[in-house]
Amino acid sequence: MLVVKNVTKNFGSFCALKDINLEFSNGVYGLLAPNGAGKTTLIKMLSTLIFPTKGEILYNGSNIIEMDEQYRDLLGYLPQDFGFYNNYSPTQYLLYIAALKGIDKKKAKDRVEELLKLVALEDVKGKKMKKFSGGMIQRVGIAQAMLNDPKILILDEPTAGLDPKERVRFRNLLTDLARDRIVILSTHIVSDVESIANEIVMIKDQQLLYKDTIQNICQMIEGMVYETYIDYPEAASFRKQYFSLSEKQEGNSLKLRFISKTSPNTAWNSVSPSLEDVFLYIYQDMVTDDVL
Amino acid sequence: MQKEKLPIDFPDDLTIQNQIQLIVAKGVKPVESFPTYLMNMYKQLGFKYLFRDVTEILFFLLLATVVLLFTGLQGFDQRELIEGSAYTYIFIFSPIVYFSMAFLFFINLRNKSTFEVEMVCKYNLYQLAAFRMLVFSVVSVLINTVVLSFMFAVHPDLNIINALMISITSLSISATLFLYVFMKSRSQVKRIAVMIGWVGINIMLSIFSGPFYTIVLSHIPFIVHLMIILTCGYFYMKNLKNLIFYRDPEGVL
Repeated sequence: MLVVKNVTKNFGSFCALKDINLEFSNGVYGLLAPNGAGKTTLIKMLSTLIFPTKGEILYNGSNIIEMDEQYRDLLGYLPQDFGFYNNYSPTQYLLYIAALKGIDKKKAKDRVEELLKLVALEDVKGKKMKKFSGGMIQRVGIAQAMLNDPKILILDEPTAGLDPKERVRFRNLLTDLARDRIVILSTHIVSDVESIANEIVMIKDQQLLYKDTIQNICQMIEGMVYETYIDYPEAASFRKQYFSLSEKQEGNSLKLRFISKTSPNTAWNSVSPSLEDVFLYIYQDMVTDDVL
Repeated sequence: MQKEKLPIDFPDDLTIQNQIQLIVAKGVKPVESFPTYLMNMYKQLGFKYLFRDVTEILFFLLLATVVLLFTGLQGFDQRELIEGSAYTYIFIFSPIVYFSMAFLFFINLRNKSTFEVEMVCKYNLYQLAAFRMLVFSVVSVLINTVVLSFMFAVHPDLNIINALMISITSLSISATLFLYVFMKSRSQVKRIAVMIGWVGINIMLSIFSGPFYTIVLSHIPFIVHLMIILTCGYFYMKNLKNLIFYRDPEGVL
């Protein structure tokens, strides 16, 4: 079990995370927050790239900083900006990382073959990576994170650059992997985690806001989400009154999904809230266009 | 309610000893010596991955060697040699090969896009650095020796033993200083300042206290050279060993 205990991280006088307490056991955890909320700081602390200013992170009771290479042996990590060597082929790059991870040469060759098949790069395994698309590079990144069959797999924005088909394949892969390991997936894209995460971790104002199942998190705004059709001229005043979640043009009307805390109008249809609704509602002061 | 007492046989001494040994063997990780650690790392990674950037290293090595050879062979006339300027030159520029290799590796370390992935591996870049720095220092001594041999061939009046000792002493002090600053400070500026400072300060000293500086360098006894080399060598190896377990209080980023 991975335990984040009273962790605070300051960068000079700036506080990036404040008194975070979390527990992770086997399963997929979606670390969901808008850009700049502190996701990457937490991810980097879990990967031992930066250390907490206060508090500690424990794996099975041992401090991960003290565990040093023993912890890194258990860790698979895909950073947000995954770097690679231009002139390496995926096979060469993965064999290099496998060597750094201390994997036996013979085992490494078999594992690299296996992973390249898994991420559907076996046909281009000998091609130089400088010719690869963003999605292909990302798949190499995912493969390198899984080289040592890690007990803790930490992925920072792993679906960036992946096309819809690759995203689905990736989600299925993670679900499969999470049976016997901790998978922590940081993202600001709700659909990445909605279908696969056992629990969602939300951070706001440098503090932990929620760590719960999607169902429980959605309960928070149960009975507050509605859909209705309005005429275009009414849209501006409607938006001023209610918090709009999504809008869609249908015929001559506008279909609006929104949040209201007041008694419902008869023309409104009450709908079940989704994780995206909660996300937009919670981070309404922070979200940007790239969130959806 | 009466508690049931379960009789448990107390194990004999041999069983206790065996169990203790088993627990210790499984629970306590054997401590590897520094040479064993380096050897195991070499076996695991091999030359290919320890010196992944071998082409760049060779380029820098060649460049530094050519500069040293050119300046070393062309830079002095007979009078300057007798006055000891050659020894000043050797003292100031002997660490150039080492600095150029260290610069290549350390200065660009954090700027590499692969840094984060490489730092979370079992053998991270600092551990690789310990091995590489050791090799770099040996290579530097060899290249300096080659350059001095050429200088000796062109200027037979040069005291080759004294020149060699000055060269190794200079390299020992500067390399130890560089590694010490690297371990103590995160500032790239400070690390670069050591390299520039070594050359700059020594040039200034040789200009402003010329005869004294040259006399001191030319007349340092062999035993003093040896003591400086051994002392620096000890601290250099100690710092290299520490580099394996190097942990910045803030993390590596």
